[in-house]
Amino acid sequence: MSLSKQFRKLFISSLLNNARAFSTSGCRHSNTLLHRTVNRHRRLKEGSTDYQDIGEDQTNDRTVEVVELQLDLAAKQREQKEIETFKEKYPDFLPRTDLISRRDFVIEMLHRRDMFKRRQNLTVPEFYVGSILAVTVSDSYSPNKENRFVGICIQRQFAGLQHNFTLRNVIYGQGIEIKYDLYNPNILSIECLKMEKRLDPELFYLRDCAPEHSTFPLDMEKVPAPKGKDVPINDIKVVLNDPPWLERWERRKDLKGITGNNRTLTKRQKQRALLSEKPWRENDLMLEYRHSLRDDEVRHIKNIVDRFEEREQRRKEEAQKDNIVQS
Amino acid sequence: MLCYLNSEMKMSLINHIFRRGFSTTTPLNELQLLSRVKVVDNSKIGRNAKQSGRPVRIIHVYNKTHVGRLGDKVLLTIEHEKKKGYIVGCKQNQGPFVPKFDSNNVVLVDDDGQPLGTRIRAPIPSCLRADTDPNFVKVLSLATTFV
Repeated sequence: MSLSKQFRKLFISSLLNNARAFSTSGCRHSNTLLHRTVNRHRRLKEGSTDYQDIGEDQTNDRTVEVVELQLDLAAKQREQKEIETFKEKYPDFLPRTDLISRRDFVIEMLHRRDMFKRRQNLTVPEFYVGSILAVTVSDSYSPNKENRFVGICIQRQFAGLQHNFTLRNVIYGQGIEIKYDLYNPNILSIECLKMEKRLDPELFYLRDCAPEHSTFPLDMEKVPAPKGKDVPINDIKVVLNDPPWLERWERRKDLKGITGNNRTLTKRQKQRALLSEKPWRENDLMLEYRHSLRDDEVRHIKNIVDRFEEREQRRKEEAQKDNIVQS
Repeated sequence: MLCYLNSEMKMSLINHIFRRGFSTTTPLNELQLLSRVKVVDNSKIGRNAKQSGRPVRIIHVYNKTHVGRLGDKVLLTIEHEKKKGYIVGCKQNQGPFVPKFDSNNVVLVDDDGQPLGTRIRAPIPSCLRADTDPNFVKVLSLATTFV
């Protein structure tokens, strides 16, 4: 075998080994966990802290004392909170939860590289579904070669370079939604005019609500976000219009940001609604497990992103110092 | 009667009684024959149609697939007349950077290509400016805002 082929084989096998460390069930439809996953959890329960490097044939140590366990718990809770905030702040760096069994670590690494390169040139502000953004896109057909749109973010989709978000606004009585690819080079700038969260992960119900809830002035000024505090949550409960609706909101009792999602149904409609009910889903722990990301996986990505952010911060500070020195 | 069965039995019973024989998709919101459409310029016919409440429908789409997209020319029935128009807003999901509207908007045009109205108050997608068809350019010159 040629040298490059040998190298490629080693590279791929090392990646596969890393992948095997993370995969938990045999296949995406399986109802069981692999032996090594269960063993790993058993060891963790008894006080081991090292997630990745434990070999299959090591014996368990029962060395954790009660006081240490309590301190450990507080630290763990803090770390848990950090991980949760990271998941909400950088959803583009997390893999898709519906395709976890088909994760490709090489693709994720390559995407991350390009995403960091883009983030060096474009400042992507912190925003969530429910925040009001202003996006300027390069447009060859407009007189000043730019096109600016202001709207409330109603959705954030996909992972990696495909990550996109949808902005909604009502302009001259016409409801408009535009989908933007976060990492598309045509975007000249993204500005978060008002940073806040809502009670739901998606706000499609705004299409069936009064237009006031989707109207934001195009010349809206930036509302400064409170520094050092948690992200403000706008717990408004929007009233739905009278039916007919664009979606069957009466079936979505999980949505917390709306009221009035009740409808009088005929006997046949009620029977049809029962067909699509899946009451066993809430008890399906394996499904939940298969679609969830483990904390150590998220921590691994978080460390990479934090390192990038630190480097960027340092680079910007140095650039500023240089500017001051030169002037 | 159904409440005395547990949920699994209920499910199988209902599935047996109300089984569908065909598959369906989510609504595509495509503009085709007999789609209802909203006239968005200040032409007299458009205003009359809005007041009377008679729906404006597409009866022909001038392209190969006969499925209307942004910028396509269509033939409409308004107030018992046949008029041509251009699609300037779609409810259909669009690609990135192309705006999606809450209503299907149309601008009326006569057979020579002259627009029937004098102004378009609704916002028009900026990507339509790429179209070099001279009749369409005349229509877009009436627009007040581009999105």
